[in-house]
This record gives sequence, C-alpha cells and structure tokens, in this order.
Amino acid sequence: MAANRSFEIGTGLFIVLGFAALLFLATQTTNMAGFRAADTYELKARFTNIGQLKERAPVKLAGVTIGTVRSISLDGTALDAVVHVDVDSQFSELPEDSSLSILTSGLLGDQFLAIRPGGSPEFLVDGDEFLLTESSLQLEELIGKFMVGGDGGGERGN
Amino acid sequence: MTALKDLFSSLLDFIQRLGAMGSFLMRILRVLPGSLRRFDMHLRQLWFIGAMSLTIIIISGLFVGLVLGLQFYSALNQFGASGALGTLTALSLYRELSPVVAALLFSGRAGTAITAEIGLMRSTQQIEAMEMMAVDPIRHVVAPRFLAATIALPLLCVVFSALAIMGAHWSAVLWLGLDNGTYWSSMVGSVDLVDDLLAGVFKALVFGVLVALIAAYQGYHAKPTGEGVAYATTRTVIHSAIAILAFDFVLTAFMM
Amino acid sequence: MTDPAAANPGSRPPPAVAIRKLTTQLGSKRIFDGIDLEVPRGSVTAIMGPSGTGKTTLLRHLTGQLAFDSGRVTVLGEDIGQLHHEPLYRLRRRMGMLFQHGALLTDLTVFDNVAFPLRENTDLPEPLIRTLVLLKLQSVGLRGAAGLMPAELSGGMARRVALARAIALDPELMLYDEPFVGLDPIAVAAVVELIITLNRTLGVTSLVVAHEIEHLRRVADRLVVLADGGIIADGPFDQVQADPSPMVQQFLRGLSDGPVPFHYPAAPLTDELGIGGAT
Repeated sequence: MAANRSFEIGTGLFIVLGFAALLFLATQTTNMAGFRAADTYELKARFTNIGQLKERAPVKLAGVTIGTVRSISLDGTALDAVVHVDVDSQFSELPEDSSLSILTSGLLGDQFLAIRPGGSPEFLVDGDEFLLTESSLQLEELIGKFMVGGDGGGERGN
Repeated sequence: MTALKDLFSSLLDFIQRLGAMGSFLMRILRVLPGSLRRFDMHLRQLWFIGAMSLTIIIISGLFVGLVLGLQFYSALNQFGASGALGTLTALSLYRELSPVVAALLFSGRAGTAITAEIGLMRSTQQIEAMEMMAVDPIRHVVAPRFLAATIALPLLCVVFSALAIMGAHWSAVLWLGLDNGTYWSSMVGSVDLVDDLLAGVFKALVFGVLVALIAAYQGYHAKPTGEGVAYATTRTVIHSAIAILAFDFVLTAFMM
Repeated sequence: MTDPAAANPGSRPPPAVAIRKLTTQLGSKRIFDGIDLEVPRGSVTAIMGPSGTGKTTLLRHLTGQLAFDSGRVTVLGEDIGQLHHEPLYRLRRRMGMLFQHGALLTDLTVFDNVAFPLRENTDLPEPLIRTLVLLKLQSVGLRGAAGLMPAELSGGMARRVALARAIALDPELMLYDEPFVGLDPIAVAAVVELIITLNRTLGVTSLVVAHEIEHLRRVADRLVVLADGGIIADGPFDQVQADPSPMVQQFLRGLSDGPVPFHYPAAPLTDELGIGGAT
C-alpha cells in the first residue's frame, strides 16, 4: 500500500504541476494579466477610420491603461465607426472636453486608444461621447502627404 | 491500370482501418464510465503515462524556448521589432509548437509504451486470459490508458509552454539583452487567454485522444509475437505523427 | 434445451461439451471439416494431434473466442454460436482455462492474480476473498508465494498459480492448453497430480490438449486424435494405441516419416539439383 500511496502523491503532483503551469501562463503572458476592472462605466466615440483597432484593445491615459475597447460598430447613417469603451470607475473624473485618439505602440505594434485630458470642470459620465477624436493614422495617407509636399518622401525606395 | 487498382485497394484498406479504429473508440467510450469505478487503475496509468513523460517534455520545452529566443531575436532585430519577440514566441508556442511538439514527443514516449504493454499482454495471452475470466480487457486494460493519455497530454502541453517561455526569456532577455518588461508586456498585450492559450490546450486534448487511440489500437491488434509487437510500436509512432499533423491542419483551419 | 440428451431425460446426464458437424476455415486453410465430439460430464479427455491440426482452435471455439463457420457447439448446455457479450461472459465464469505459459497478469502479485476473477466477477467481501485465494493457493501448494510477482516465479510455479486462478470461480469445465510444455519432471508431476485431484475430488470435466502421451495417459481416460480436419481416433488409450491406422501409429509412436511426410512437398531432389539421369 506504501507503493500505492507514492503513486497517488506523484500523480497528484503531476496534475498540480500542470495546473500551476497553466495558471502561470494565463496570468503572466495573456490578456488576463492586463487590465481587468471589476467596476466600469461606458463611454463612446466616433471615428472616421479606426485602422487596425480591435476589441479588447487597451484605453490609456498618460500611458496607463484605464480601460478596454468593448465593441466596435459602424453607424449606417452617419457612416462612421462607433467605438464603445469600458473605463474603470475609479477614473471617473475625465474632463468633458477630453479627446480620444488611436495610436500605435511602436512601428509594428498593436493599436490602442489614448485619452488626452481636457480642462473642463465637468466630467464625462456613463453613456457620454468623446466629442474630440483623432482617427488612426494611415501609412498610405502619410506617404501621400509627403509626396505632395515633396518633402523627401520615398527617397529610400529602390 | 494495375496501379490504379492498387491505389483503389489501398484506399479501401485505409477506410477500413479508419472504420475499425472508430468502432474501437466506440468500444472504449462505452466501457469508460463503468471503468471509472476503479479509479485507482486510472491514477496508476496517469502516473505511468503522464508523470513519466515529464522529463522529456521539460527538457525539450526548455530547449525549444531557448532556440526560439535566439531565432526570433536575430530575425526581429533586423527591422527593429525585437519588442514583438514576446508576442511572437508566445503565439507560436501556444497555437502551434507546444501542442504539436508535445504530442509528437508524447507519442514517442508514452504511445509506444502503451502499444508495447498491451501488445505484450496480447502476446503472453494475458488479454485472452482476462476474456476467459469474463473480464473485458477493453475496460480493464485499454480504457484506463486511454483516459490517462487524454488527460496527460494537455497538462504536458502547458508544462511544455511554460518551460519554453522561460527558455526564450533566458536566451532573449538574459543573454541578448532584450528588455525584461518588454518581453512580458508584449505578450500580455496581444495573447488572448481563450483564443490562443486555451485553444492550444484544446488541440493537445484532441492529440491526446488520437495518440491514445492509435497506441491502444496497435497494441490490442498486434500480432502475438515479439516481431508483431515491435512492428506495432513502430506503426504507433508513424500513424500518430501523421494523425497529429493532419488534425493540426484541420483544427487550425477551423479555429482561425 | 440445446442439449441433445435433454430430449430423452433419464437416459444419461447431458454432456459438458457437444460438437456437431463443426466446420472451420482459417484463411485458405480448412481446420475442421465437419467433426462431431461429445465430452461427458466428469470425464477427462485428452486431445492430441500434429501441430496445426487445430487443437488450440478447438479450445478457442469452446470458449467463444473464435467464431466457426458452420455446425453447432454446445458447452455446459449453452449454444456457443448464439452467445454474445454478457451471456457469453456468464458462461465463461463457469469455465476455467489454463494457458500454455500461464498468462499471469504481470503487474499483479500472485495473490492478486488469483483474487482477480473473484474481485471482478463477484461482490464478495475482501476477507472472504482472502480466505478463498489462500485456500486455492494452498491446493496448488503455493500459499507461501502469495506475495511474489509473476516474474519471480519458475515456469512450473507460474503454471500452478495460473491453475489456482483458473479454478478460483469453481468452474464446471476446465480446459488445459499444453499444460506440460517447458516444465521439468517434478513440475510436470505436480501439474498431473493437480489435474487428477481436480477431477476426482470436484468432478470437474476436463479437456487436456497436449503432446506428451505418457502424461496424458495418467490424467485422462479417453484419447481423441485430430488430424486432417477430422477425428482419426477416439477411445480409451489402449484401444487408440492399438489402432491399425498408419496415421495414428506414426503419430503415437513418433515416427518422422509416414502418412505425414518428412519432406515438405517439392520437386524430386535429382531434378532440382540438375543431376537427374539425362533422358
């Protein structure tokens, strides 16, 4: 029976090890480790172009994640993209005239939303909309501007 | 004309074997709930099949991670994107490498052991003896091994991933000087718990069923001679490898 | 109801085994070509025959492990051809089989091997199982070896443990597949002794497949010789040994050449070597 017991302990350790590894990976290397707030309020914003923005992308203020993109949809009449974001309730004092822009982390990184706080004494509340937004910067448009400006664009080409 | 005939008959053989395996799987699944009463048998097999495969999984995982760290660093550094190393390592591991490599290693370590064990029981008439004692060998011999392999491979796959993530950290961060924070945060930013990590674990679960089924089938139907068992063991490795890679393609296509 | 003798009760007890017009084809080889055989209850029957004549196949038919092509096989009153799954397993609980090399389960101790059929097939409490197992082991003289693993046993001991396991459920019919092969004379004597005791004291009907005529003579009262898909001799030992058939004589006396030729069929040697008298 002693042999039986050590089998069981060994097998138990194996199972524990497997789940420990899963816990480690889930909390350290996936979005589970990212922003998770228990209590949030919802804000929305309209963009003419959202670029590569995806659901669950982070919403940052001064580089700190304070929320996530909940959903992205197209407004069929106004023909622009409507983005709903969840913001942690503990950051409930965003000035009403704050602006929201789509930025890219690094040259090839993912896109995220950045809030630039305004100066209004009024705060955004649940269901409000950001009135000032800046769409995703499109590489093609950027190059186009350079070309028109004749500002040294495309000189690296081969 | 004869070539065509050969092709047709080998296709028929293949389909027949597929059918035989399917009905073998049905036999296992039918007796599986009943065999759970004897939980000690399953635990024992989980030890032999799972825990005994840990060594090779840990060592291989570590080395695969070390290599990924080196390769991705040198490749990404060429266009200044080494910041994406964590993302790339984690995604390639979770979605592809861990389930597939762990399953291939598992078929070599545990699959062959299952085939050899059951084949030996067949060749020494232990299987027949059980039938004569009115004990269903599928229930007593095959089912516990099948269940243990199915449980073990997902666990081993996760252990493999964890070790590989550490290995890549070792080579990319500790040796090549990638920023530690960048390594971890790039994963957190773009690896999804369900779509990436758990999807890979699900793949491993499917591969576990495949390896267990093939290994048990080959052992159970091995010719009752030493040569027959050796032949069956070889076939377990070959069939498992093909099945793992083929199903990997199908699963990936469905999950994309 | 499947017993032929049940139709006229009172004449004699139904046989343990009744085979009618059994035909078996394995691949291209015809193993049995309509054989008839009846084994009365309480008897010990020896079955001999050249290798490949289907002695083991016959046993596998009786246990329902191998299907036959036509005919009818009745074992302990049950028509084997009609039984599947649970009813077949129920019948097997009434039979015991001693395999050629014992076929002990290698990952269980001697005790657990003998306890195996009891634990799997009955709901007896563990103390009772312990008692039964020790009694069975005592009857084969190996109670002291209860804690050993099969790998630690000699061939003869393994065979005796296998016998204890085969009789654990107190079978009505015992099948022995080559019980003497590879045993030293002392072990053979022990196995012979056990087969006789089982039959005399418990009235177990026995079928013994073996090649060793001198051992069989001691345990069995009837000899059946199989060859060429049929039964070529059947009766008491003396009668069979006096059988004038050259086939029977060749087999019983162990002559290398006879109706069963020494040479595998081939072209004449002189032709093949190219030294035949030139025409």
